[in-house]
Amino acid sequence: MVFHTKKDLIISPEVKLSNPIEEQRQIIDVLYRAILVVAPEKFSRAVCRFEYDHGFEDGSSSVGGQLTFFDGDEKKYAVLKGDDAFDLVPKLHAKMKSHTGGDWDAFTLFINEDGTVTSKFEYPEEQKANG
Amino acid sequence: MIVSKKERRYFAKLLEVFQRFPNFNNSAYKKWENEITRSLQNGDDVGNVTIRFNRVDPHNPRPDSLTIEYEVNGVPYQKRFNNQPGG
Repeated sequence: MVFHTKKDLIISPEVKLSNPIEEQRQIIDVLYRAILVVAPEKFSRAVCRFEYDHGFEDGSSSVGGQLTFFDGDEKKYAVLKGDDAFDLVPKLHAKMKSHTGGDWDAFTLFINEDGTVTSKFEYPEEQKANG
Repeated sequence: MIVSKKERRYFAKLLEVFQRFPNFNNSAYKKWENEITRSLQNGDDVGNVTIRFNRVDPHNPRPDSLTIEYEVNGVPYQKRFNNQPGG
C-alpha cells in the first residue's frame, strides 16, 4: 500500500502544450495536485467527483465538487481551496469535447492505493441507461 | 449532524435571497436549488453553509463568481456559479 503525503506535491514547470491528449493530461494533473494540497497527512486513496452542469438554453453553468480521502476504512472529507480547480473543469470539458466530441457532465478522479491516478467520465446517456 | 428547523429556515431563506440576484436566477442555479429542496424534503441534513463571493477586482461591487460550501448528511460539497449574464 502506498501512502500519499504532502511531499508528493511537486509543482512541475510550465510545459508547452503540444497536443490535445497532453493538454487534458496536464489539466488532470493540476486537479490531482489541487487534491493533494488539502490532503490529510496520511491517506491510502482518494476520490474526487466533479460535476459540470451545462448545456442550458440560457448558457448558464455550474461546477460542483466532492472530495473524500480514505485511510483504510476511515473516511476523511475535504474541500478544495481556491477556484482554480473549478475553473479547470469547464476547460477540460471543452478540450475533450473539441477533441472527441464527448459531452460528459461529471467525472471522478481516483488516487488509487498503488499511487496511480485514474479518471471516470459520466455521460448523460450513461445516466439514462442506468436509470 | 442534526440540522435544526431554524437552520432549515435559514437555508430556505438563503435560496430566496439568491433568487433576487438576476444573474444567478438561471437554469444552472435553479437545478442546484431543486436538488437542495429535494434533499430537504427527503429529510436530509443540509447545513453548514458557507458562501464566498469571489472578485477579481476587490473594488468591484459585483462578484465574478460565488462558491457555496455546504454539507448534506455530513458530507461536504462545493458548488461554483459564475456571475455572468445568463450564467
